[in-house]
Amino acid sequence: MKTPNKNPLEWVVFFISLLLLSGVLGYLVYDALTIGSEPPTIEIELGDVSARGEQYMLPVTIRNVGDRTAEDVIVEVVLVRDAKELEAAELTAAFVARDSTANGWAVFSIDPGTATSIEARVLGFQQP
Amino acid sequence: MGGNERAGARPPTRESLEEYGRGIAGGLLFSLPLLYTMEMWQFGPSAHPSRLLIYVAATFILLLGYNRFAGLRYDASWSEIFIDSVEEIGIGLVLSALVLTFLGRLDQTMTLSELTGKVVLTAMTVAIGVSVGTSQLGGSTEEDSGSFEDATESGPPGIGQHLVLAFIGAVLIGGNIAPTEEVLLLGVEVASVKLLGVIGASLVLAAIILFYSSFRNTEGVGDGGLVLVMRRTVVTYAVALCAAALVLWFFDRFSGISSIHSVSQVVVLGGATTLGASAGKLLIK
Repeated sequence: MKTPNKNPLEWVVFFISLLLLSGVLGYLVYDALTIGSEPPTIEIELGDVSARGEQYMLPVTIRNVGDRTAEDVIVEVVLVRDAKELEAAELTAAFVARDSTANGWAVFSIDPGTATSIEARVLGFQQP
Repeated sequence: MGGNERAGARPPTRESLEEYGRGIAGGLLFSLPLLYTMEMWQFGPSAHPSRLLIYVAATFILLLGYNRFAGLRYDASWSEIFIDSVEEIGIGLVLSALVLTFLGRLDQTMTLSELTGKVVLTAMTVAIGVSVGTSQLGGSTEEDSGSFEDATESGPPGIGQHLVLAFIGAVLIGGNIAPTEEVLLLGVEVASVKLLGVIGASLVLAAIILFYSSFRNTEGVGDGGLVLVMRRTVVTYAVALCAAALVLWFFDRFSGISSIHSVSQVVVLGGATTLGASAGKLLIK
């Protein structure tokens, strides 16, 4: 077998490529060994309300801590005062991969500040 | 990237830069449709890491095969072929990361697994494009005198080479279409009778490209007659169907799908992979 004739530029490109490729392979192997088989598990975080004209916007962060992707995640956010539902808002995240988040807003016409509690829950999602 | 015939002499830096330029152009040319496809951004992060590993390994083997038969000088050693294949994957990773960043598909809030999934999936197609671009887009120079084509001029190309090139061509075209939802939709909706029409059309198309179109590197009917035409056409179509099934399996298009609809998907995509498989010989310089 003859020695490859490479100029310095080609060696540099080769070693950077080799580094990238082995990095990717190493990470994928690590990921494949550590990944579980949990179904999508959705956690919801609510942010601080901001008023926009007649509307009140509540930031919603949808996080998938399971091991599989969830598609069309439907989240319902309900304003409750004295055990009675004041207003409900709904939002859908098209695609939430594992370990990933999707951000959106729930929009209300009533000030969420007047509610005694805000309840957020996942209504359902699909598996892609 | 290419090896050089002049023993002991290194190719000038300018020449390598030109080759990288061709590779980058080719990589983008062949894979931009995929980089602009939503299913690609979504499938990567949701695929199991072992599936991505198989994808990287399969691409690497494909690159080795292509660089052996088409991408390089005929006399290239396996170590050169290995180096070139690694470089092509490296360029593919960098290019796809750049393009996806410019398209706003990658940002700092994403986790490592999401970033890796997106970049790796698209990078493999870019890498094949880089390989094809490097060997195909260049103008011919006197240095090409050691090419595989010349070496095989003495006899007809072997069936092994025919199969490998047909397979690479099929994967190159099929890989661009398989991840889209449309294949699934067509597989489910097109009636079986019409699928027979798709099969017939694919076979005719293969025969035309292989024998009756005077495409570069195709052979013409010669004295083999109709039997040769039918044999080659059927073999090419079989390779196209295998390639279609393989890429569809990779993109997880069969789970939860009835067997008839799995077969229809293969036939639908087979129309496209037949084009690639028949034109596979064009990939030799």
